[in-house]
Amino acid sequence: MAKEEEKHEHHRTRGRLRGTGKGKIQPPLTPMIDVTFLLLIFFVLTASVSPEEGNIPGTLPRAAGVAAEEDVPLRPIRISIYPVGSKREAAQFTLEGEGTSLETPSELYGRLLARRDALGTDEIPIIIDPRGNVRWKFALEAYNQAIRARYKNVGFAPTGG
Amino acid sequence: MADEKKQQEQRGEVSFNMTPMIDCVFLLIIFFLLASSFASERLPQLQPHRPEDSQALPREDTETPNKIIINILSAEDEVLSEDPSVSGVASHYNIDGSRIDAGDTSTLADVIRERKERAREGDFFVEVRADWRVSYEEVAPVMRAAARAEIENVNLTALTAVAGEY
Repeated sequence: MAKEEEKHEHHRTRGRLRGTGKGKIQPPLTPMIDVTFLLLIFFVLTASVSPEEGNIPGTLPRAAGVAAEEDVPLRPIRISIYPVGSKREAAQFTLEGEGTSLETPSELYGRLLARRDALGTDEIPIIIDPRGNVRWKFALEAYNQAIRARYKNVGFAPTGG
Repeated sequence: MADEKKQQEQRGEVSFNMTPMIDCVFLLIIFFLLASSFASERLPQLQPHRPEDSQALPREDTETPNKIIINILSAEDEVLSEDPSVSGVASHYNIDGSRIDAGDTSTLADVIRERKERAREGDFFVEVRADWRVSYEEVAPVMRAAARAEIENVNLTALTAVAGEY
C-alpha cells in the first residue's frame, strides 16, 4: 500500500517537473539539445576554411603551344628560372642580358618594372623559361610578377617533348 | 502561454528562453552540413600557390560551360613518407572528377576539343589548376595540349592576395 502511494507520488512529481500538471505534453528537450550541441561542435571543429582561389588570365600562341618568338617584332625579355636546394625549395631568376641572379619575386618585379620604364613600352613580350625541374610555384611566381609589372604579352618557353 | 509566464513571474521562478538559441544552433548546423558537402564536391584537393602580391582575380564560378578546369595533382600527396622519387611528379590530371594519366596529352587534347565543341562559340578557355609542388615540365605538356586543341585563352590558378598584405 505504501509502495503504491509512493508510486503515485512519483508520477505526480514527474508530471510537475515536465509541466504537465494541466494535461499538456511537453517533449523532453534536453537530449535533443545535447545531440545538437555535439553535432555543432563536431562541424565547427572539422570545418576547414579553404583559401580563396583566383585566375591570372593569359593567352597561348596559336601555332604550337610555345611562345613564338619569331612572330613578334620586339626582342623579348627572357626570364630563366633555376632550381636551388636539394628539394628545389627555392629558385633563382635571371633576366637575359643581366649577369645577376634575383633571389626574390620582389627583386624580379623591380627589374621588370625598371626595364619597362627604360624601354617606354609594355608591348615587349616576356618569355618565362623555367629550367629543369623547377617547381610550378616559381614559374607561376614569375608569371605573376610580369603581370604585376603590367606587361601585356607574357608566355612560357617550350620544354622538350 | 502568457498566463504561464505570469504565474512563473508571480512564483519568482526564472526560466531561459531556449527557442532563439535552438534556432541559431540549427541554422549553424544546416550551414555546416551544406558547406562541407559543397566544398568536397567542387574541386579536387590540391595546393595552389599564393604569389607575392597575387594578381589573381577571384573566380566567378566553377561550373561554367565555357571553360574546362584541368587539375594537376601532385604525387607527393599519394605517399605517406617523404619519397624523393615522387618529388615534383604529377600523379594525374583531373577534369570534373574524371582521371587522365599524367603525360597522356593526346587524351587530354581530345577532351579539351570535345568540350570546346559543346561550348558556346568564341569565349572558351582552359583553366590550369596545378599543385605548386609539381615541376614545370609536368605543367608544360598541359599547356601544349591546350594549344594543340586551338585554345588561346588560358588562365592559371593562384590563391588571391590577402587583404592588407602588400
